[in-house]
Amino acid sequence: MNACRVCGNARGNRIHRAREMMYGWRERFDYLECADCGCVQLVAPPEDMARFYPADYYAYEPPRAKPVEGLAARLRCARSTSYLGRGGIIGGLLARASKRPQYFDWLDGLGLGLDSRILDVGCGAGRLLLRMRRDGFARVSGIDPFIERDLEYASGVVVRKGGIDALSGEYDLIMLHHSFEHMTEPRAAMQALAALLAPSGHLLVRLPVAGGHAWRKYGANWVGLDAPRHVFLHTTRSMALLAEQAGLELARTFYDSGSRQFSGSEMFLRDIPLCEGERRKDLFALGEIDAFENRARDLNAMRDGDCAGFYLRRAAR
Amino acid sequence: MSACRICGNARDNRLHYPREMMFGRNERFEYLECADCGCLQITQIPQNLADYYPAQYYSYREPKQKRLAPWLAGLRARRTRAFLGDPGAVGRLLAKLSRPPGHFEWFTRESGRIGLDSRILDVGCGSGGLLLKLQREGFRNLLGADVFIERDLDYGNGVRILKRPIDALEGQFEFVMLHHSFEHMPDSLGTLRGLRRIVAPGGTLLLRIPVADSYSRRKYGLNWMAWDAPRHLFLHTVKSLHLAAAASGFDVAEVTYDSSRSQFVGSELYLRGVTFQEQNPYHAGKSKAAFSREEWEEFERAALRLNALRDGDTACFYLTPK
Repeated sequence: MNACRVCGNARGNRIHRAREMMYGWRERFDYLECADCGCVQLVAPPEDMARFYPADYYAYEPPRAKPVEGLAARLRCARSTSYLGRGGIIGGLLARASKRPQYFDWLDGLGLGLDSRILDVGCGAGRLLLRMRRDGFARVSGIDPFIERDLEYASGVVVRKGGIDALSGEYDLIMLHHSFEHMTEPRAAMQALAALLAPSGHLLVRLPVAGGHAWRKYGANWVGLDAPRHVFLHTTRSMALLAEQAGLELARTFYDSGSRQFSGSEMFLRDIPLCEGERRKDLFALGEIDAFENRARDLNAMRDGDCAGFYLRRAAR
Repeated sequence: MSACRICGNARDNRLHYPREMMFGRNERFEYLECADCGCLQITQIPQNLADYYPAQYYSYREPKQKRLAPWLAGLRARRTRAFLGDPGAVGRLLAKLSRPPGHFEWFTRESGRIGLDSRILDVGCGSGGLLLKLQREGFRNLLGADVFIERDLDYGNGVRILKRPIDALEGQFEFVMLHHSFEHMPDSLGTLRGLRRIVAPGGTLLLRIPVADSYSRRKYGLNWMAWDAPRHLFLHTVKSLHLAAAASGFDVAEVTYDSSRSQFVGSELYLRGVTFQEQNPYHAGKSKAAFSREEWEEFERAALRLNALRDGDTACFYLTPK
């Protein structure tokens, strides 16, 4: 029996067979579910993993990249400062007049400013970074191993092609939005990320989590498995263990799962690939998606949704 | 593979290895999950079981003792009689003016059968905090038993606690209650047979226990707080408890659920590796808060929803002699 690659447990682990169902290639992959920390992990990541990230993979769509300059840029800065909980009257008025972008929720309570050093790891083409740059964040950058080449946008945002090992420097916030689960060596990755963190910096890891309602209900047909691209489906337990091994500790946790945990998994049960199912309008009755959305909200409130965000910081001594 | 000690099934039983998490002794214990009745049970009872009940164990703390003025005690007793169904006008007025304390819920279904003179026994009562409360409510015939206390206790107000196992108890009782102690006993079936002997005809046995066929067990698995290895030797299911009751001469008259937010709070912190005795600073609003205020409130609401769905992780089983 295979041992868990996070906690080392070799007793009572179970194997689940999942299929590639984003594109519907239907190749089978074995996942091990650790009986101890609950982490669900791809037993043998394919040698040719890059094949599963074809050019049309959603994260690579080239983002709109129109830089903002002059007065408009200054006003945006004022508004963003207000969204960060500071700033003056003009910013406050602008903030009230417009809708707060969702990503500001992720920045709450971290003591960040527009000059904070922010890194997005596994950022794809860098869509979020460009938005943040337009909103006034001056020092944002990204890295992604699967893009074709380094990207340098007119606004000054740089996205490098590469892995975490290629990074140096110090960051106030390092974010991983649904990229950590794609990494084949999470322990080494967590340690490398910890080394890049400023003393009072934060690491935000958003990812699908195993063990929740959707995993219990759908098992190998859970859309969050996304075989074989998702190599590790973590739990709070396995994240806490990785954090500890890297000298970090869990601060806050939030759950942000949506209707997709149901709609996507239901597609897999019916043998419909995700990229086909998401185009079809005939799969769910009127109101069903709304019901899924409501159920997801309830699950999130009970920490039982299938996607979560973990804030990590240096462990107190 | 060994057989289930409740139903005897030996096929497809699974083994689990939860950790001691109350004190963080970092030891693991082997439990069997019966594939038939679902009962979780430790496969080998540790030789040094008493070591897992150190002096600071919560149920040995010295209980609050208050002496009530005689007139107040008299009014309290009248109110209690009203809660138990007595039609006296003074008592009924007092009962209307106050909310019944939580411990009266357990007597509600005994209405008309239990009075202030009924013989009430609390098995696994620790230092007897609940019995002392009942004494202040006016109950006069109260006895406790706990094998882990240092020696017999006599509070001088009629409440006595014996350091004695069930088989060494004499007489019969109209109401025998085990508040989260049954799961600590090494032999579920033997214990129930012993209890059958001391429950008076027409009397009731109340077992309050964690239940393994519950949402929190499914969700948190090894980190389910109520697993509490190795102290909880049996984590029953509704099915296994019914089988055990039938095998020892009891009917199950009623099952109610009384789980609380602690199933979420405790289990979530076990996931993070925080031992039970270190948990307080992680509660909402405290220095290391791991939960927001909204989550804190939601956990309580979620527990009530689960109880209504018979899916909470603790339950009350009311057993009556066949």
